[in-house]
Amino acid sequence: MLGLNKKDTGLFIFVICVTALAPFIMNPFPADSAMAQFNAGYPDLMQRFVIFGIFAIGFNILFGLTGYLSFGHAAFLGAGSYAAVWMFKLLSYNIVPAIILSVIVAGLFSVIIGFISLRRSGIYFSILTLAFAQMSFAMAYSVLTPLTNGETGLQVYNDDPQWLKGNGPDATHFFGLEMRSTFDLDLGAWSFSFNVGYYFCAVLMLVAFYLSMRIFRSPFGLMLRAIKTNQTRLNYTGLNSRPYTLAAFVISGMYAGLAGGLMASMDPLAGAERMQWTASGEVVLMTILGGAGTLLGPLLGAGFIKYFENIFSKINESVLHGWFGFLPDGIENGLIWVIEHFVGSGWHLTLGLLFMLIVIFLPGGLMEGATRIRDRFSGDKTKKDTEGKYAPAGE
Amino acid sequence: MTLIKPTRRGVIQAGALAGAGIAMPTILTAESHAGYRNAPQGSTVTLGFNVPQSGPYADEGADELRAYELAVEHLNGGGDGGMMNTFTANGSKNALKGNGILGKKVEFVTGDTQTKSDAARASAKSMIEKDGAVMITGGSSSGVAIAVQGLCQEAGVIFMAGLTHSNDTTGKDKKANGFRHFFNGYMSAAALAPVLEKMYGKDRKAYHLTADYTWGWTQQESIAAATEAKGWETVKNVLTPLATTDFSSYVAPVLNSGADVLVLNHYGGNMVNSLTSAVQFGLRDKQVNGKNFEIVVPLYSRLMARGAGENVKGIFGSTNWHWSLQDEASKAFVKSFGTKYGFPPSQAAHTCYVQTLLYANAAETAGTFNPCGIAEALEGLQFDGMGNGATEYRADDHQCFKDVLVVKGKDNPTSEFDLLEVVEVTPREQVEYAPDHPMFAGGDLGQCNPGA
Amino acid sequence: MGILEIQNVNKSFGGLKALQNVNLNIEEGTIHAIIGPNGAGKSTLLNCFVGKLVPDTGTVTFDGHSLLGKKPHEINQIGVSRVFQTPEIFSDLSVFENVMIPCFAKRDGAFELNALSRVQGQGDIRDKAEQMLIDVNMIDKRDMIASSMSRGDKRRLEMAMCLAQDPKLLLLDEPTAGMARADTNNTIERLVPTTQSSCWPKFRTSGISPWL
Repeated sequence: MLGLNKKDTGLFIFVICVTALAPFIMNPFPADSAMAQFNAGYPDLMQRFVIFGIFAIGFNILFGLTGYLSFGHAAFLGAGSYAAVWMFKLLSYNIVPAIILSVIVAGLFSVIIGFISLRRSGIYFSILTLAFAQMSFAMAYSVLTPLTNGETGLQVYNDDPQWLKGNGPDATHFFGLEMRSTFDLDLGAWSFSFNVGYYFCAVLMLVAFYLSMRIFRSPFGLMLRAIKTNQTRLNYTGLNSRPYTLAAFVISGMYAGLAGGLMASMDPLAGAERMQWTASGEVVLMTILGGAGTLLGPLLGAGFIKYFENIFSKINESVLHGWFGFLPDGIENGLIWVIEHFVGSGWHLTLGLLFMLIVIFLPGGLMEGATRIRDRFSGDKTKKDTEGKYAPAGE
Repeated sequence: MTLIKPTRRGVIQAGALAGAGIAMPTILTAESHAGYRNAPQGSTVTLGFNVPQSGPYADEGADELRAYELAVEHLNGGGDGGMMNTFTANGSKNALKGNGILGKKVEFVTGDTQTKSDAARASAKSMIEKDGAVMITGGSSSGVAIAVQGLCQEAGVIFMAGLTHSNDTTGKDKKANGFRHFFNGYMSAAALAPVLEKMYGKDRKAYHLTADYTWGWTQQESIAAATEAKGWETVKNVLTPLATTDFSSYVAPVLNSGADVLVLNHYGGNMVNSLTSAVQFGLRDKQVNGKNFEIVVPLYSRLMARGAGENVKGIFGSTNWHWSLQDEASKAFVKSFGTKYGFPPSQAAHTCYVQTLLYANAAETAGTFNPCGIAEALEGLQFDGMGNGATEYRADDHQCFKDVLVVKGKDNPTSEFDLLEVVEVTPREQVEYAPDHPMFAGGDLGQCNPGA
Repeated sequence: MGILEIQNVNKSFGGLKALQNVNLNIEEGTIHAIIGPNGAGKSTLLNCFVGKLVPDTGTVTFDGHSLLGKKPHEINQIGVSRVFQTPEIFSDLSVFENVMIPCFAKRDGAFELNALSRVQGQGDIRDKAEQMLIDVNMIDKRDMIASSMSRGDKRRLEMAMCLAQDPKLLLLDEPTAGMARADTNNTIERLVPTTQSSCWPKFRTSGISPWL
């Protein structure tokens, strides 16, 4: 189907189903129960899942395939966001021109940064991209304030021109369909939110995912993987690795721009921190956590990190008291004192620990974990051997 | 508005699922009976406390959170009531009864802004969308406050700003759903200038080091204008990148510039580092133009003073409130905060506590949680007994106008909290400005948005 | 007039003169061996052909093109392939993919943004790669990950990759070193018919060869 082989088609259908049913899957607990704290099915977080999914999918095309570790991809995300908000300010709240421009701007921006950074490889490449991103952040934060509104972030004001707005809505919309419209479905104790913005992002994420599958399975993708394993051989085989890496860099930059444009479309504000190195580091974590070089991994990693950031950071002391209230006071306080350090403001700590565990025990990320579980259940260990991965070296 | 959030109520048939997301919202608008977003259901009302728990302002954030928890305790009838006992609105006692707000028990959710506008908005959104918060409050930097204020305007909930000092919060970025109790850069400057004139004379040459972002600029602009009006001359203004930690290269040229005052438009860690640098260079022991060289820090906070240690001694600045104030309200607040946490509150804690009470009182007088009702009750509100003397929430820009404290680093601090002394209380008239003052112009409150 | 002409090539590293006035003229369809003790400059000379090193003076002309200053991939596209002393293969890819890559290089040139076509759908490339694997007797290993093979197999694979490009000049740097005896014979069997039918010169350097 759609130029995919059977296995990929299955995977794609699986991803489509999960994204379509996400409002149900993310809200497994009744709205009034104590476990509702762990529900993630509200529009903003679901939008973030798919938007950062797009970002990570794009990043994986560069990092997962070519092995070039860019520490500056947040710059493209930020550039995309700024471009989108400017479209809102100048034209109207319609997100179509905004998203198109954000992809173009991020693409141009990545051509420039990529052209310079890709003159080097390995750690020098990473440092160059990091330097560029930090430079972009500093410029957005102060120097370019007329363009970016500095620390405060670029927003749409009532007195902005919005030449094409006419009588259009006052919120971001897709030809009149407002991104923030939400339909809530209450089924007994459960409540599920279906948000227009989420489904819009989800459709684009599916397109992005499909394109990435095609790239993975294309001769182009094969060359990118060849770059990762042996660039010298590739050059002596008559292939010029520079345009390949640059193309991969620009494609992933455009993915980042799309993600940035979507972020602005869901929430019309673009702040400079979006370009900071921590934001670049986050997408690296997402990709590694999920499994670099795998199709589904980056999506999983993005969901994992965003879940922690948004759910664990909100568990505070009083929530804990609610959970452990049934225990004797001394034990309760002791337990809460311990757990407190891992939730709320301590969510970074929990995430860091989990990241360490995963990198140490599952170097291939969550995807490796999933594969191992699948293999265990199917008991099919021989399959691997025939693939030759573990065949003994025949010296 | 097609935006609806009937959440967790109004059972909708499963059959409607098919049209989900696209056709339904407009149809359902009419069912949104409360008329505003996140109308509290049942016996509780949820407030969202969105403060930095990580990042450079985590200390301020932690203190703000303490103040919020204290305020909730008092609103629900616990503790000693704190400033609820002294708070008077429009000349009569406040409408708070100690039984929650409008009879509903106050509950709260917290989030981490990480001092990043994206993270702050994500956190605020989850409070609004997931937890059904009807009011968001917090913020320890102007960028975050402005970003969240914009979000609350779009979402249709009230935003009660915490620590935000930039002119823009109630200037060009003001919003109908947003309210600020804290003072701003202009007020700092207007309060400081007369004191500086009195202490250092009219004939002074000032050299400015300014954090290179919105707050720094507005602060510098304000203080330069205010001191120039007193006859001072601004020799030079140098912008320092926010990430600067070593200010020696910025401080070194000051002495050769002919300036005899250094103004540090820095906040937080920046201020601690630049002040330390300046003192280490021996600037304060120098004589320039036949006068003692002086250093001024327009915005002070106790937490910053603690960071700078010895170096703050004798240095002037302004602050919104200080725990050593001796009015009944301040004493009551310091007492109940101290009883609960064992140390005095910071100005950030104070403004957050006050904002929570003001919101609760507005809801009581308006008889609703509807943001438009609350806004109406807050606009033009004259109140007292909150530690700052008589205060007014101006309707034109939702900024509180009150006296401003000019403080000085204490020469002989008695504890790690007793670092500043109040030199003068600059009366409200001196720090007031017209809503269309050039430093605040360009914004538009817009219409209050109930979000439904 | 030979297909590869080397005139007055000098190359020194600091004070060490690795190549001094090398002149060489190679005719199409011939096999040559460069022999010499370690450090004689055999690999240096080879490196001057493939663009890894630029001679200090002199000219290297191949098939009418000067090779000086050309990048490795450009030289390869003119028709010079090289098998390295230590196998240079795409170790994380399957054997089949390893052989497909040179086929793509031959067909599409140095760069082709074919991001949306499918490797699965490239019938001509797949047929050619498959044939090449049959030729070098490795078809049974086509789905193995290259890194998991023996050193000898890796060399054979590298040779197959070079042959898949139908090069005009094939440079072999110690092609049979480290191979088992049987593999050495296989290699020779594979190389000799190539020379006879298409008449390409081959190079090998270093040591005394078991077969030349």
